Amino acid sequence: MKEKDVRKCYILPVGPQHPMYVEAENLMVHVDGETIVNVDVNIGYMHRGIEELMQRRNYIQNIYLAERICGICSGIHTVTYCQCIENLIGLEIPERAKYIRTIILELERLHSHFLFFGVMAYEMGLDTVFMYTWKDREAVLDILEMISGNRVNYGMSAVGGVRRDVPENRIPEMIKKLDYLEKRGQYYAKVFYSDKLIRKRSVGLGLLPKKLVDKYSIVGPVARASGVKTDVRKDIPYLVYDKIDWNVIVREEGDVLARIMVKIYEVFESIKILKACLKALPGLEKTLKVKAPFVIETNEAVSVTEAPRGELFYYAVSNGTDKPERLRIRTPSFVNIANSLGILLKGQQLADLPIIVASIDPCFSCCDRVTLIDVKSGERKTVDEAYLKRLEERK
Amino acid sequence: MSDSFRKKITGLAEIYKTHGNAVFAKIDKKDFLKTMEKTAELTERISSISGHDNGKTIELVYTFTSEKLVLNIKVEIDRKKPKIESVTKLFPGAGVFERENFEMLGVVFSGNKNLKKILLGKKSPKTPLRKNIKEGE
Repeated sequence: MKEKDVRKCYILPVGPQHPMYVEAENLMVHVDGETIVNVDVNIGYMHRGIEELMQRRNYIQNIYLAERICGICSGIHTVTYCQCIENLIGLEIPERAKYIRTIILELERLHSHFLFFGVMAYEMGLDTVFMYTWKDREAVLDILEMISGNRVNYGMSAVGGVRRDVPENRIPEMIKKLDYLEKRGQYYAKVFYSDKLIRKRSVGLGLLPKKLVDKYSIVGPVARASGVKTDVRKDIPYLVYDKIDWNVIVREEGDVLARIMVKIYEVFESIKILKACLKALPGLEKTLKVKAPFVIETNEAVSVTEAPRGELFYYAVSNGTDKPERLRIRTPSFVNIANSLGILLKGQQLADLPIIVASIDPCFSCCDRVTLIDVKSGERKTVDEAYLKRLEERK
Repeated sequence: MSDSFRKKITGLAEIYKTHGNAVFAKIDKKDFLKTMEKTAELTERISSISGHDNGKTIELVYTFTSEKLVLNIKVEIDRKKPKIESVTKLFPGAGVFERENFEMLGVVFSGNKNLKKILLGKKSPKTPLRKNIKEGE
């Protein structure tokens, strides 16, 4: 971009505060009129120093710290952490524990995806769909509550297995709820694919070309919606994913609608996996956990899993004590936010920004307050979310 | 990719550990760029750069994931002058991981034009994951 062109642009700070996720992130959006020319992504407002904190706590305490990294993905963080520590020790967990972990992870994927559909609908101004999807999400949370007693932080995983069994007498009730969710999934597939308004706000929007996906390490449903068949559950199978028949959902379009449709069809695959696991459970041995040592000898290990938002990576180094020497966590949103937003937003209309940002399902979405700065005169003008909503409605 | 990688790195890296699908290879700093170029012929996607201060050196573990393989390439660099070539030309997605290690451990990645803080605030301690940084500093 020439200097002359830069001077024409406004820089529009989006965030760091916003009301929807109670989290803070900042985008500095360079706009030329209503068109986005460039985006600077500033992350780190939610940094809590967890990697450092983990080095000061023992392996058991860290399970609960890992669970609190993310409210939505609490299950996958504990499973990946426990898997990493089991790899350090060289521990094989019981078959039943593997099935129970898979059940928890797939239920988590379901509730995360239903939450995403609601957020997307809300961003498009369809509050009824938001209310429908979040109501349906309650069915998933009910199943999680039946198993763990909790709706969000399940406290299920332990190093060496799981802490609780799935109540077998309630499996028929769970299957019933899954059947209901399947039906609702079919309904949402129809709504999102055929509704004229949704199509207008999502087809051809926020394009991510296939060739850039691997280059920029973009992961999860965002990558799959751009035609890249990448899913850790299939590529590097863990737990029981290689024992169950299921498919990786891929779409070629690479736009906002493709990202929604990938997740809708993933709901059906998750239900398929869940039903297979629940069917197999009664025939398995009752052992839930094997004993794990408190002190782990010097070693290093990795663990890679597929979180609802993509590949989650843990790297651990032990030093012969009960505390890890180093624990490194790389979450899917870290790469997806930092690497993809710049590509997705360039050349798009400002009014589409909330929809495109929400479509990568980050841990932040809507903008609470923005300030317009005229680069030439230095003039600042503060506008609010309602302004962006008006822009959206006008479109 | 596992076999092709073994062929490519013969003479450059030493595979010192495996578990499940994970392979750990160690390389000399002088062979670093050459190994990365060979790896880039196999995959464009980098998953992580994990930095670790072991008290004597700084270890950087470059992780690449592909079908049935989690490839970890470890390189050790000087703790007092932690400097290594950037791989952003080979793997554009590595930029954020390099910034993270620059911020947390003070590793300088020569060739990364956007090497600045990414996660911490202005008042946060410098290089907080270094061994000499104590609680509250």
